[in-house]
Amino acid sequence: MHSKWKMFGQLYRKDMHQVLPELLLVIILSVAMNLAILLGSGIMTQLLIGPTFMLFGLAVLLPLISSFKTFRQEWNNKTVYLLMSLPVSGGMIMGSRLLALVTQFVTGTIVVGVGALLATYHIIPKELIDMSALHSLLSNAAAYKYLAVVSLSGLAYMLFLFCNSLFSQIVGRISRKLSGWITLGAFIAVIWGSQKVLELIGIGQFSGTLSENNAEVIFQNIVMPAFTSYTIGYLIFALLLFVGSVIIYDRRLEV
Amino acid sequence: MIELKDVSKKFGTVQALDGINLVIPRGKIVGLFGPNGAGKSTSLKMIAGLNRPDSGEVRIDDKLPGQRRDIIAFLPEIDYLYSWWTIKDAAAFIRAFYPDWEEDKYRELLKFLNLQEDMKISKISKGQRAKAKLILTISRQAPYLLMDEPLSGIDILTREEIINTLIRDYRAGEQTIVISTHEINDVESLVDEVIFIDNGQVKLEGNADELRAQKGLSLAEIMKEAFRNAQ
Amino acid sequence: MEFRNSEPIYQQIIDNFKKQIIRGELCQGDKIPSQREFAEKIRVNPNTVQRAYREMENMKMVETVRGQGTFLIAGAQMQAEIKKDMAGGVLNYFITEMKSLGYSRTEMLDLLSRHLDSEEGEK
Repeated sequence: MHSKWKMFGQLYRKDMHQVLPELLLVIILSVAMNLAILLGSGIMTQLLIGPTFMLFGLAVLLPLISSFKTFRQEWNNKTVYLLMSLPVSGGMIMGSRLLALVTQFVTGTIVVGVGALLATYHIIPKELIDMSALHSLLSNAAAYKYLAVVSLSGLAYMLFLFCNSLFSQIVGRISRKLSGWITLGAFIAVIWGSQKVLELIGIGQFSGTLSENNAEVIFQNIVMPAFTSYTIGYLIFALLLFVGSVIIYDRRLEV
Repeated sequence: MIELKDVSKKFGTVQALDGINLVIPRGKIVGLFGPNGAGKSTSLKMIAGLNRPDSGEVRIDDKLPGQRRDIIAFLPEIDYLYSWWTIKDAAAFIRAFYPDWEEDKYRELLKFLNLQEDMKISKISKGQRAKAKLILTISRQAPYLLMDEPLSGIDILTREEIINTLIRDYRAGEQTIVISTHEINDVESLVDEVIFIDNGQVKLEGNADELRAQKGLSLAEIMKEAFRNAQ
Repeated sequence: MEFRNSEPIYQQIIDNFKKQIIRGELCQGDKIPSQREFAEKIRVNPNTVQRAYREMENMKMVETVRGQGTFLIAGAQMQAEIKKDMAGGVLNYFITEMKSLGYSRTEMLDLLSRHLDSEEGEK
């Protein structure tokens, strides 16, 4: 199995190279903005706080754009000839692409998120912060648990979107014409369909009344289970889409 | 042995292969000749597993092409390498996927063909790219080597270098090379078996020297005759 | 070595060796290049060269000794035969062509004599 790792490593290296420009863009913008906040003074720096958090949106959006861009590039540049003649299953080829996209997403969001938080914390006048509340928040294990669940949920949904992108593009490539339209159609159909399925199963729905005012209880009993179910639901969809992509790639895709 | 049995393939309205029956014997250098659109590229891509027949069977040593990728080295006509790669990057990539890669041969071929590892694929000339592609393909000890128009658009000197390299490297009787080209003159003394195809079917095939003895014509002239008769 | 692409190449390879023998460029016991070397040198498919060498071995013109190489074993008698054979081939071609030009036997011999004389005269 040593050689399978080498193969995967080469594919991952290639895929990371393809997402690097977008990832670097996010990182550089974030670092630049945060440095401007930290080193600057006056209104300008406070004006930058909003944008530096908005970068988060970019860190989430760009990987999705990359997922379409890189796949399309393989076809336009004909490098797909190289990939399709390799003695490996589509699972490895698409797995490494997926890993690169996840790397791009996780790295981008962490850099932006942490950077924005640190910069903001640094320049907010300390009198405005309720330090004791902040301390109890930071030392509350439950807070980290919630953060983890929310993050994982986000990651699961992104994974679902990446697999959807992969799947729709592969389905689009089966036909020689109208690939673009088929891809778009499949992508939207999958999002809509998955949402419908989750509703049908009853995920995210809760019976009973919202009588509690206690935020913590609401969070614990309603929001948390909802997030967890969504996470599992979308992970399953992601897996199904991935398996579907591999099957089509191995059996039906042609150059 | 590679076999295409009654293979048909249609792309849109174009019938690329029309119930073609093709056999590539082991251990020979086979010339696949025919005009543009004859079905040469389609056949080679099918053997390499890049497309599938609509009907009929393709077998490589009795197995499907998808299961034989490890013993096939395919050299497509187009540029299929990542343009940001250096030759070194490309070699590292191929090396990881094929256990039959021979590092010594690779280094030796680089020297012989006058290329450097740090050359960037996007920055070198067409002839150098053709040589780089060739090196990456034949640095493997693949039993089957498929080359789709390896000489087209290449300057004469590079063409000679490529042919010399092929001859030098060829393991007589063990290795099978299939060269598709419409420039038969370049490969007259290189091929020992020939297959002429047109409109997705085999028009004429046989041993090169035997055909020459029979007809008293060069392969290029034999092809002209074969296709003139077909019309 | 230049090839005519309208004749079997393996045959041309054999003929080329035959000519070398007749001209005395190759003598009995001489080593000829290995198949691989020769194929590279004249830029011909090694399979074709292999066929030529095999034919020459069957004709007892050459012999391959494992680990040492391929050697000419054609003796004086075979060399004379080869010479006669090749001359015969040339003569057949001459006669056929001359006939197609309309020359009779006596005319052919006469013209041949005169050409040879003038050639001698030029020397």
